[in-house]
Amino acid sequence: MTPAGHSAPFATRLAAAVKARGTPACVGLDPRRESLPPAFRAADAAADDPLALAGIFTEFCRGVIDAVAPLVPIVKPQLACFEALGAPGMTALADVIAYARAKGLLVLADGKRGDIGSTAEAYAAGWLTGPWAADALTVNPYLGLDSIEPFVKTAAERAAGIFVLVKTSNPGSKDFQDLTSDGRTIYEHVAAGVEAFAERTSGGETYGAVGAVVGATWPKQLDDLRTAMPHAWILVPGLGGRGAGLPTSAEPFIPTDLDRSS
Amino acid sequence: MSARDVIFAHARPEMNDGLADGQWQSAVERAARDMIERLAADTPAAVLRGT
Repeated sequence: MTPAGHSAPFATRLAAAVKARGTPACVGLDPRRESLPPAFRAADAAADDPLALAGIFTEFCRGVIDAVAPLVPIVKPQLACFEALGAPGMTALADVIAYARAKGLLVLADGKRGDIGSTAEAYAAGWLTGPWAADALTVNPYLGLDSIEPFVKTAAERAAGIFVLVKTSNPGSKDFQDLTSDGRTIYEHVAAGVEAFAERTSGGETYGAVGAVVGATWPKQLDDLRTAMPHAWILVPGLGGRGAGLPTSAEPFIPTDLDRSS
Repeated sequence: MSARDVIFAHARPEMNDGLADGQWQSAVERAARDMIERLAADTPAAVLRGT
């Protein structure tokens, strides 16, 4: 048993959860005051009261978790939605993460963290251990491979996981990620790093502790990246949406967005 | 239906049809099931149902 209380690596637990639910679907937890159900009308009056609003977010997210826990393997709270409420929001987030895990869900903290050295170590400790301990965290690779290393180390030690941004779904992803250096795009360089980390942490199993984020808005790149990162789970925002095609690979992925009408 | 929008399914007519205001969790469940069905129809995720 690891310090975080997991008995198996994240990749193994994710695979088991996906098989148990029969789907790799992920539900995002991005609470917004203005979009809450009418049952939470008190939120309007609490617009300027972070403590009250945090309590409402907690109640709402718990309700969502109750509804989806039997159906999906994993939920993905967006940290910014809680951080915006200050200390009460962080308390709410800790409650939501703990509640989801108590209901048998894996939790992917979507914070897109990234920094160097001891700061990266602190980010990893903050989101993969302690009161906000999630099962996995999204990581921004812009500062380089050495900035990812502390997250990999903590994830491997705690049987947790990380998902590194490789090729994101937003239109502006081409501004930097598609630029070429040494004959490869920047996102291909990142993917090579992810695959190395994933293989290193796989322990001889199929998948490692390091996954990738690849937007389904880029279907050709998604196919290529699936092949380029055989040891990495891939989180796929935008799957089926915004005119995207679909991956042809039968390898696992976690779709986070399935809007064919947009 | 976006994965991010599942939690706000109460605002989508196709998900809240026949539901009262207080039944927003039923709309969330419908939306999650809809997302799963679409995923199974459009991707290799369908193979998971046999596992």
